[in-house]
Amino acid sequence: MAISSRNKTDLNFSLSGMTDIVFLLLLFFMLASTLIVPVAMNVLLPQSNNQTASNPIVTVTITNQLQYMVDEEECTFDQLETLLKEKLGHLEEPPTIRLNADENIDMNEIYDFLEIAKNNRYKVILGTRPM
Amino acid sequence: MTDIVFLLLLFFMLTSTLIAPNALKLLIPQAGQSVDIVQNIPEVELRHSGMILVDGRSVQFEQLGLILNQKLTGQTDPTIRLITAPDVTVKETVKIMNVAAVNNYKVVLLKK
Repeated sequence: MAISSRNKTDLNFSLSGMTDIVFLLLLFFMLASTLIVPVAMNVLLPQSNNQTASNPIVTVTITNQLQYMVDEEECTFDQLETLLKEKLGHLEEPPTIRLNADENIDMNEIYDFLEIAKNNRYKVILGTRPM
Repeated sequence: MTDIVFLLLLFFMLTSTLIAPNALKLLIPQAGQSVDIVQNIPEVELRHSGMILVDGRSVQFEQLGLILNQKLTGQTDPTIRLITAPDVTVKETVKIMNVAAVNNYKVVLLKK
């Protein structure tokens, strides 16, 4: 017959498209896994070789100069409790907070923070860096 | 090529979820928890001078693990109480907590 379909689909499987996507995903995960813990402020964490599986919801940072930070937000010690309540107040079960404290600050600051945590039933883990 | 890239992709996807951040659990004494009195819980005291006392007796840092081991063998839920002076640095405290963590002891923090 003279009439024939003009657009015939190519039935051969081409790998290149698939490779592109997989390669892109690979790059993404490689980059994302290195960016996983960005430290915004200069805090030298104490060293330990213990890992905990619990995943914290909020990170509180205390620097050498006793500056306080809740996640990325700078605040004073007095504002800390209200800020934490704002962020965690709606949660049913006791949330976990990661405390990144500089290794050279006194335990006094830690105890002050733990007081807040105790009053609000927060669980606290102390961030460390690998030995 | 696709094989290798696919394998790498899977590897990175899996490892990125398996990362557990380095951290120590902080336990504080809660009101109304007096069950623990039955067990004898060793008391580790850390003074400002860097002196470590276990149940009132001065020990070297290197011996700490050994001594705690002796005191806690056979206990189902080994726990130590860590009492620090307020002006001890976090670094010193974490050093002791790490010894406990390595041996799977729970640490309850107390302020002096």
